[in-house]
Amino acid sequence: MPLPPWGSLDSGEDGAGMGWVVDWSAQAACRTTDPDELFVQGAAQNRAKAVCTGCPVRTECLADALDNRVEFGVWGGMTERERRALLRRRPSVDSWRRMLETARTEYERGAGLLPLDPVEEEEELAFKAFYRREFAPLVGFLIRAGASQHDGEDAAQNALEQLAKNWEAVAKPKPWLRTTAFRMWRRAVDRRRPNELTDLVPDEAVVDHSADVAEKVDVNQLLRRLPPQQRIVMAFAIDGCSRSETADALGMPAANVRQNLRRARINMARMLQEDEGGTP
Amino acid sequence: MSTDESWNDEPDLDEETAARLDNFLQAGKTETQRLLAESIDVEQKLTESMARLAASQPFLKRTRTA
Repeated sequence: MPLPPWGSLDSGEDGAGMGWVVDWSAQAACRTTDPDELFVQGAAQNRAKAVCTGCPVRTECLADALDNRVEFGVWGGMTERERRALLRRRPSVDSWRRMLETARTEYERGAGLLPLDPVEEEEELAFKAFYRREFAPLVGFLIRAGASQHDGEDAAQNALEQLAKNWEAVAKPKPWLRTTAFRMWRRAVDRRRPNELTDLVPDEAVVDHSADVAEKVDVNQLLRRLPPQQRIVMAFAIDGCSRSETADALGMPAANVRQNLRRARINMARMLQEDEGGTP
Repeated sequence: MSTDESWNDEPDLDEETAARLDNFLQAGKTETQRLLAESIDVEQKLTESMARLAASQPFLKRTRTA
């Protein structure tokens, strides 16, 4: 891609240095390409970005586009949509050049590995960090929704793997992950106990005789005494998902989510009162 | 919590009951996470997942030895 009109990156004053091509446009694979072919719209961008494959300065081009918030066209092998998703997912990055250059340098230092595409390497690191951070909370969500710890771990693992395959496309990973994990758990239970399910979630939460977290924590026990729809709506609410996110996730009208949440709270407050003396 | 609404934006419970319930839920969530942190080997789960993804994931498929 040609340089944006507001100029190129400077020459290493922020510590960036070896290997980073400042005047990258002169080496870009697209330097002889008609700009009209690159500034296309929609799905045509996915075809246009083929020119970036194997480009020696693809990373520099992408960093420039991201740091300058270039909205239009294909840059560094990424379409407008892909760049918007990346920027939404990583709002805290203040210098993409620094981040991508660091990732590339660190990778090149890795023993026994050939250089990777630093953008992809950085994405992999980001995914791993997300996985480590979100795995246990996701299992907690599934337990509150009615799963055993064992089933929750399986569904969480499968959902996170599914997220990896859609990493660039998912703008709101938290509700997406909960929806996906919840559906995966339901499907697994459905296969195991096809005659014991309601149309939404199991009437009776899965009983796990290993005395896992689901049984050790009073709030999880209390949730299991709620009707299925109230329980799952409550599980989303406890995890900070909004009514609209919950409605989207469950395919349920927002009014029903509100109603179920209201009833769940009233029921839980009543049960809590009845179980006076119980601890969370 | 998301910013567009709260758990208790309609007066379903009196203030004291609502506060007690919210404290109970929060404490239960925290306790659940503490127990899970003790019992789950996230690194093992991650390793298993990355191994499964290795064959198909774009950001893994080019991880190759020299």
